[in-house]
Amino acid sequence: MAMLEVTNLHTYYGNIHALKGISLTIEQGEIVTLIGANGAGKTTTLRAICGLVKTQGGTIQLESEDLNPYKAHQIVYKGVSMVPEGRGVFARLSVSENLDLGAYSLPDRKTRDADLEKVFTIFPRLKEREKQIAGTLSGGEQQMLAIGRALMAHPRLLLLDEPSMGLSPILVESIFSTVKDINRQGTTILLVEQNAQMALTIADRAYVLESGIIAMQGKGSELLEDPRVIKAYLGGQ
Amino acid sequence: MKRLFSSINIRELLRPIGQLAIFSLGSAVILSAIVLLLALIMDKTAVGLGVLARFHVSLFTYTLVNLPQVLIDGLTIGFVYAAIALGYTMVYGVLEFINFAHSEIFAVGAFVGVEILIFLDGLGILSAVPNWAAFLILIGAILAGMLASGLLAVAVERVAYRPLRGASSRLVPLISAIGVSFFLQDAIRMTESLTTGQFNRIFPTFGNFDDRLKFGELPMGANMITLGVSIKSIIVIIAAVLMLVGLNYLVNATKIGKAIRAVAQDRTTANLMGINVNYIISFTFLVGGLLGGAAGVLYALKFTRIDPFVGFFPGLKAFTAAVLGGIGNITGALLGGIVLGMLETFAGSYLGVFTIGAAGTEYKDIFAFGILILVLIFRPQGLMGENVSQKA
Amino acid sequence: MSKRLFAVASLLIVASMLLAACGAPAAATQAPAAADKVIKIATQSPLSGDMSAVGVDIKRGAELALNQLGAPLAGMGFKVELAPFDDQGNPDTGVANAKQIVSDPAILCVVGHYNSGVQIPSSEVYHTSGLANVSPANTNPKVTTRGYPEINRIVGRDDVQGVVGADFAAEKGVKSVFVVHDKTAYGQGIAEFFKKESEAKGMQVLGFEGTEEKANFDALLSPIMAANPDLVYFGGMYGQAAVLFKQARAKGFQGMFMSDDGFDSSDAAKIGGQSLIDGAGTYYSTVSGPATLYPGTAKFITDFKAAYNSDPQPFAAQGYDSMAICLKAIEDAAKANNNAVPTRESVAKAIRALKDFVGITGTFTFNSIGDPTSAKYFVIKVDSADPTAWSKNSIAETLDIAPPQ
Ligand SMILES: Nc1ncnc2c1ncn2[C@@H]1O[C@H](COP(=O)(O)OP(=O)(O)O)[C@@H](O)[C@H]1O
Ligand SMILES: [Mg+2]
Repeated sequence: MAMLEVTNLHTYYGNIHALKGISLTIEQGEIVTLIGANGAGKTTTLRAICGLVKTQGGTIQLESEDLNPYKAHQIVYKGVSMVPEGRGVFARLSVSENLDLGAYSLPDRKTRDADLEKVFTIFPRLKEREKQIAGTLSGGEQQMLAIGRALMAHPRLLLLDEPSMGLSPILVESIFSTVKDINRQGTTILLVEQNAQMALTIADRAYVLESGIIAMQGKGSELLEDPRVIKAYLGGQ
Repeated sequence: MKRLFSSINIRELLRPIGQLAIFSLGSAVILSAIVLLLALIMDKTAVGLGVLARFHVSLFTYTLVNLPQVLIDGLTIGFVYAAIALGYTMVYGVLEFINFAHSEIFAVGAFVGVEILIFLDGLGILSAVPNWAAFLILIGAILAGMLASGLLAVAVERVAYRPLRGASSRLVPLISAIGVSFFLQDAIRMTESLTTGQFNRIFPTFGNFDDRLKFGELPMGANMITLGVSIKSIIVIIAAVLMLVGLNYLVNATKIGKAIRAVAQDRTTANLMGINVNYIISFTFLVGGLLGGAAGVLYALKFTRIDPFVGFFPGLKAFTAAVLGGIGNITGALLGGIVLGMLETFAGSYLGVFTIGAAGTEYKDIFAFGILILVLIFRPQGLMGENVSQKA
Repeated sequence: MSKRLFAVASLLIVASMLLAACGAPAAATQAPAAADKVIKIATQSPLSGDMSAVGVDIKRGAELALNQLGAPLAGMGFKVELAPFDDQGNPDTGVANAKQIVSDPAILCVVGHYNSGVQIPSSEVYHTSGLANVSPANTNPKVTTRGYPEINRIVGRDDVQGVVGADFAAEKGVKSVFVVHDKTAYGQGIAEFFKKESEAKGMQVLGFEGTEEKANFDALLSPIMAANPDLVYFGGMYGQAAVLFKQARAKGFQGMFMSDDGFDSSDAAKIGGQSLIDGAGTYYSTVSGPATLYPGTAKFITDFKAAYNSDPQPFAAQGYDSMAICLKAIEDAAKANNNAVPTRESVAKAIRALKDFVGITGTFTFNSIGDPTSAKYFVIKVDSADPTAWSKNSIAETLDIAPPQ
């Protein structure tokens, strides 16, 4: 049973046909990456999985359960958390309040301290800034906060939308290694990236999205070698 | 018990009380200093001589002797404005939308509370009750007004605002709010004319709310000016403080409060946290309505008479207070309410004297609003500006 | 409860009246020979709605007068009929009725209205066709100050109330006053007259303030409390006045309160309660007392009760007198016209020509604009904090005063 199975998914923004029948599968424990140019439909795919955009054709199944009947705010209770594009931290709330909101879907706060501890072990910087207002954090710290917040919900499937966007190379490196760590600890990950090089390096498998259609798929290491991928997404070397 | 206690965030309980104290004292000191300074400057002018002729004291003495009562009165009305302003600011904070119907939600609360009391009075219950029972009955009436206004606010949002939430223009829900405002006004009017046939409804006299605690007397020439505050003013102030503290606690120290603030900042991301945005918006309207309803009954207690249009002026003033404080900002609503109440009372009390009767109390609003415009020219984001609003 | 019964009863009466009115033209067409001798006198007052209690009794008073005083015209061969109209206390309805009235050539005089706001636009219509109007109740100065030759009233004017109040205050030994008004033409007008007369009587006017405030008078009360006048006067309606008085008393004001006939509502006692009785008490002026107050009304009250089985409301007696004036003027005009049906213009002239016409609420001579040369004003003292005792408030003074020139 696949963790997530997307079949022939179509979505529209008004007249714009953003996803034209995409299908993808993520197995339990995998890191899968979805790469593609700007505007290809990567974010839309994640939004569809989270219920933020309506699907108009096709199915999304989480461990064989159809997600279609659920509203966006109910999806997180199913074990799916998303780190949105541009991080989406609550800029006027403190770091700890952001993290608490991440645990909003959990029935009680018994595990809160342990969860916080876990997040702080992954991102020691957040512990130092616990009381700071999120809007005053640096870009990298905000990304850490967004990921940490998503982890607070105990996700089984974590969706990451361009976590490397706007970060310095060193930070990108560190974020990616953290993502890998999180995956090792048992969280299945769907990683959307424009930084194809990094994404393909850490991913088990990858999909290439072009104008709302899956153009290629395969193992991460294989796609890294694929000439079309090299030409289109890896700077042509 | 110990667990419960330890889970209450004492800081969040005390913080607004401190803020209220600072705002009240601050505006009192600043405004007092201004009028006293003016009085000193004008003492020897025609203004001072006019006062000397009429009251047989110097302008400075006149100003000083009247000051304590002006401060008490300004504070009382300021707290009423603050309590109503919270309703505007809560909804604005979450939806960036001005709920113009809030003034009528306030009015409905006033009517429900007063009608219940009139009903009890008609049964002959109120006239005989001891003071403690009168107090309990008053609390009951306030709770009933809160409940009615709270539910009404939720219903209004559901029926008149939610369907328009995706509308292309922000003006669309605004127009809807104005429509609801008129609708509710006429609904009150119609209900009253079909049931009681009376336009003016009067808060029954019972208990010892009208009694006045006297602090003392100040001599002013041949007159004695008594200083005092009525029990109902004290009730208004205490109730408003309780509401403000409660609201502050709710918003800043509870899970649902965090959810409210999350929805206020970013609805989509709030969704991703598992927050049911519609539920939170309804809840916000409920809280705003509860506060408005309580303010309505308190207003009727303080000022005795209500009619279907009773919401208009307090609503307008409270909205102004919210903008002055920085709309969307709870602390700002407190500050705005207090400042506006003070300004208005100072203007009303002293304008006549300082202008030798040329511009009297009737110009208090023009004067107070003139100052507000000045403030907003220099601080368009309101006194508590954007940056301080992180927590509220 | 009895009030509601009364309302139902009056509605029934209205309905029957309307039926009667419908019947009248039919009768007229059946007897065309007598048509040139039919004279109608219209009444306009609220016969339905929340002011119908007073409105119906204005009409009843007029009807009673027609029944009792119609003999001279009948003797001259005229058939005089009442044409009652329901203005609903609404200017639009009043004007629509007025248009219907002026288009009926048999109508030679109109008794009406109850509300100044209805009388003023409706009388514009009467004026265009020279139709005489005698108002039993309208106190707004504009009713007569427009100077229309056919528009008259038999009651006093709002703008005299301020004078009445100030004269009374002076008699009571008041030395200083603080005047507040509601900024309306009515309230401010009265307040200004009060102020002027107070100064003329040597009282010190410590303040003159207008306010639209309905609830929070704290700011206004600061200068009042500081000035500590003997009397606070309010020109306007009870909704503001009673709240102001109550809050002033709460702040420790011990002096006298006074207001105008806008204060004449039992709701004033509901709002003000004991604070109206405390200190030096509360007084208000009015242009119409209960029917019992007038010299010639004893018989009227008995007859009215016999005819309608209820006590006359305020202005019923004035309805009677207005009709009496119409009848007398028509009679005079007809005599001058060789007992033929007179013109509307001659009826209007005949009203102004009346000298010391003796009615039940006074003796009437009209001045050049249609005001009675002397009208009655009353100063009433609030005797009880109990709203149900409002109608028992006592008359502190009755004055006959000429209208301002
Ligand atoms: N809110 C929107 N309204 C209309 N079109 C949109 C919206 N969001 C995205 N699109 C369009 O849908 C397509 C896919 O966008 P997106 O999923 O954001 O791409 P990516 O994340 O791959 O850059 C693009 O053509 C984009 O212009
Ligand atoms: Mg994207």
